[in-house]
Amino acid sequence: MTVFLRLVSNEWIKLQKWLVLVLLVVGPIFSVIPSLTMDHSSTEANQLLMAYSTAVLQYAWIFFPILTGVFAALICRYEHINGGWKQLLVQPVSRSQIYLAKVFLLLLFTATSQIFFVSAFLVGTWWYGIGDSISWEIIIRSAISGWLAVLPLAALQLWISFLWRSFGVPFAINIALALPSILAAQSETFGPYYPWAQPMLAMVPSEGDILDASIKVWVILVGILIAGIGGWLHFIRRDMEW
Amino acid sequence: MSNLIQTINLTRRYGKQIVVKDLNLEVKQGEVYGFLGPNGAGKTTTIRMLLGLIRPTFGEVKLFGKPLNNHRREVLWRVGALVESPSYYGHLTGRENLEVTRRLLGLPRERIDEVLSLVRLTKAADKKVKKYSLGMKQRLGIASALLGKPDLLILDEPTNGLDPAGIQEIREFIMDLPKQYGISVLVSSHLLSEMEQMATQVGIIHQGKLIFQGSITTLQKKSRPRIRFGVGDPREAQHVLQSRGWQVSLQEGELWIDGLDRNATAQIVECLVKEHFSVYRVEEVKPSLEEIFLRLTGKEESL
Repeated sequence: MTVFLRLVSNEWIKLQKWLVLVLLVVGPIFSVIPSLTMDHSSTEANQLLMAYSTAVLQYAWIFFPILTGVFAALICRYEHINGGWKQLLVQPVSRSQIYLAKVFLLLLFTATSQIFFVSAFLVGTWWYGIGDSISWEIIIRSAISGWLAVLPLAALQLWISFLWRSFGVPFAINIALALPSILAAQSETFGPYYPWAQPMLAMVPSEGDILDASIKVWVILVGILIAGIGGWLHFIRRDMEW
Repeated sequence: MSNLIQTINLTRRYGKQIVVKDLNLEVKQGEVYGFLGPNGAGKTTTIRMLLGLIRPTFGEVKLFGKPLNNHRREVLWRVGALVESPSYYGHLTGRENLEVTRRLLGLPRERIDEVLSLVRLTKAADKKVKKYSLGMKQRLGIASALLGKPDLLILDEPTNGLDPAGIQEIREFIMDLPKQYGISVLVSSHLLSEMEQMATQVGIIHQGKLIFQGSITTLQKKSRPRIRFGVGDPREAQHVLQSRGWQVSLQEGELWIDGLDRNATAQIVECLVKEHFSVYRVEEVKPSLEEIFLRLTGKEESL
């Protein structure tokens, strides 16, 4: 455990914290503001719920999956650019622990992103003075579901970031695969299995339990296991030629 | 004396190409072991295998007498390493770079100042490393390798890309390590002259195979000296000696004969004098390490 904490604190020094903060702020702001300024009065439904659904669509379609990929690339980037990996991997720590420390950061960033999104939405509703009320429970459940549903993608992105030294290639792949997710999400058969569509589907506000909306828990779990174990095995076994 | 590094038939294949073949290195305590070979001979691949960065196709690495593959973490506590080009985090200062490793190893904070002064980077400690010169980055790498007070330091081409003054500095630094701090060193290089000055033992690798391992003096003894004769009318003298069965070569007006002992030398002088050649110089010429290396590898290639 001490080794793990040391590794996390070691990652923390290397991290470009201001950059992470900027990235964390951008998504929520650009998805919350348009959703709240949009006119929802033509519908009979709860104004706030409509606004939240719009915000989720913006945020979870593009910002959240892409940011997850950017974070994954970011925590590998400083190892890739000037031979950081070889320096890190000749230290007396196991590769699995290094992998876990990176995973931990990614979990932390994605969770923080959800907290920022919900906070931005709450601050926004107060600022724009939208009258209707919305159940806190729905929003929190949506945020937690979205976080869980992004984990297969996060593990996959981390794997891709180990593979590619460049920042550009994984980023381009990520965008190319994130854009069609809005189409994939329309499909009830395909959408729930498409990692880039999973966060959006999971975040659609509903009355059920966490991850109850349109994705089955086992799908997410299997996704985490495949991408997580794959990335982990790849990381602990690969020859470090860099 | 025990072996700090021992490899047993260490082999690494990439596809069909064998990069390192049946390597049996032995590095003993208190040595500066020069690991020598031309670029592409397999030095870096070997060093990466010694540190567990890449896995051997066949064979075994033992550090401090323990097999690396199941004692990796335990033995790496005692090893400091600098692999190939220096590793650094450019957006951090020199001190922060060391702090990264310090936290990982759980060492006291003062250790950073100690190693900084050891490699004379105290003044530049708070500058961003991307602004460092190559020599400073290299020194920072060494500082980082020394941080955990290792018993063994593995340095891959630590003088690569440095200016002569920087090379000299690092060389002297390395030579002092066993005496002053009790640290044994394995240092790789493609420059023979460098090894001559700092190594006590050398291992020469060529095309993935270890073609020599031992002390520098043994290496020098491996090749018999040649004798040079300064003679009047060398062409005729060569002819006469050849007719009596000696292998004589003529270079720049002087005669050269390989591997003569005292008796044979005396016989040749006697023969030349009897045939009325004027002998004005007889000299033993020790081959340079460069020449020994060329003979060992059988190839005219620059080191």
